[in-house]
Amino acid sequence: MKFYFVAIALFSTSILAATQESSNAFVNELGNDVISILRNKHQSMAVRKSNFRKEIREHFDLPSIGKFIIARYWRRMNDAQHKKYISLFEDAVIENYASQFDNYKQQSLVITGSQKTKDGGTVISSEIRTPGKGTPLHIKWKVFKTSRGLKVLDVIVENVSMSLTLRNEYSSVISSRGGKVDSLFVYLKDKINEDREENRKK
Amino acid sequence: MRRLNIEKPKFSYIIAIFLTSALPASISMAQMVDMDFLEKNQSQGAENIEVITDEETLYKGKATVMDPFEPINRGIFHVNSVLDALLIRPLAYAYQDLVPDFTKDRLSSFLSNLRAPVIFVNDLLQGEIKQSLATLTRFLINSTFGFFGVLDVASYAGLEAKNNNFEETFRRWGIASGPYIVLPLFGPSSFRNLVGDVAEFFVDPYNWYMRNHHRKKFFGQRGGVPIYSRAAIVSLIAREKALAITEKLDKTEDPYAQYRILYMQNRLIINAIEESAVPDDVIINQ
Repeated sequence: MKFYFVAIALFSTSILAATQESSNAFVNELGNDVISILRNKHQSMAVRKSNFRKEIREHFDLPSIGKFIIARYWRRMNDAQHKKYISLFEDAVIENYASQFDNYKQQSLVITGSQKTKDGGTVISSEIRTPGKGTPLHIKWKVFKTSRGLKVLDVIVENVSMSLTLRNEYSSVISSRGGKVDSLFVYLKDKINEDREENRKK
Repeated sequence: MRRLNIEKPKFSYIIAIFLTSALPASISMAQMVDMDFLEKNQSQGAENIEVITDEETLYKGKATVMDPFEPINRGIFHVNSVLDALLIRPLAYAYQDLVPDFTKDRLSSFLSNLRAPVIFVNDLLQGEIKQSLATLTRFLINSTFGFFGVLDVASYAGLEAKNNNFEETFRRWGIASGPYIVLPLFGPSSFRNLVGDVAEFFVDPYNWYMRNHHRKKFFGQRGGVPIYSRAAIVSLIAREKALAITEKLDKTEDPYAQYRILYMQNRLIINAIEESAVPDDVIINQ
């Protein structure tokens, strides 16, 4: 009987360790995949964007992130609006980050540690190091194990969370335009088009 | 009879004022602000000082916001924005466009090295002995082999730079930040941050040396020119680094609120890691 309990204890700690290890590997893979897209400067922007979108879809839980960001307004939206919002949100994220592809200057992503959080997630700490430039950039990835596999739910750069900051931004947009969710759709469409124009020139 | 020439730093008065006002601020508790309440008052031009403790249960995670001075802060933020647009931002763009990258890197390296003593002191105060040794080693290597810090030799040797300051020390000691304040010219801040900056101003050996040994006075402050011009250059460099981000931030619907939430996360007044989304189908190991 004792052996049984010990075995369970060992097994569960190894699951924990395995989750942290696999989260490490997960973020590492994501980082390397993205870096190879960034390095491929002779590929067309369209191809790079579509590869980037594939990476984001595979590794990020965009629907959950989008739902969190729009907060209380999610309840006020119908199914069609949900779908439209998530699709616009994804486009906005892709176009926004695509506009920064050219800023890549031989940086490397180095994983420096991981820890568990109270809400069941794992935070992977990493650094983006630029050769020759002093302080590295500190990026934390919040990863959860879901029924759809490991997913990134947030990226925290120098303590600043992408989702918290976007939530603040979208909330300001909606509240300053009379609390109408459709106003956010217009805002997102404008942002997407703006970024798309900029990316077209690259 | 010979007069004793005692140099009294004018800032000692300022320290006295802020240390006494920081105490009640640090004792005050962070209060949860209902996001509905917050946005309702934002669009109405925010006359609120009262902070509610309603908890929003529709979504997971609550942003802890401490901004009882919002109307005043918004006013100062506006003045800062105008000053920035008229003077500081053009200067920053000039610095970005006219100064070659090589020079920028050398200058940044030199100024970072100048901060090493303050970083070292704070590493120790936080009990980070290993890090303090790294900081000290970096300082020694870069000051000698790096020609007074102009070359960041230590990074190539594998010793990465790690920043530190008095505000972080106070935070680790458990001192609360106090309410969010926007300072004229200096921008987003808090009482904890302000006291930290004043502490650094006095502890910094470069400032200390200039205050006591520089030959010229500037508006009554000995060493004023090297002290304030160094501070100005550091600010300019920081402004230049932030140009891309601030360009995006200034285009948002409510830049004041964006700067505020960024500041509060960056100074760990809001702990962003615990505030992110949790998926509906999360699998938690026991």
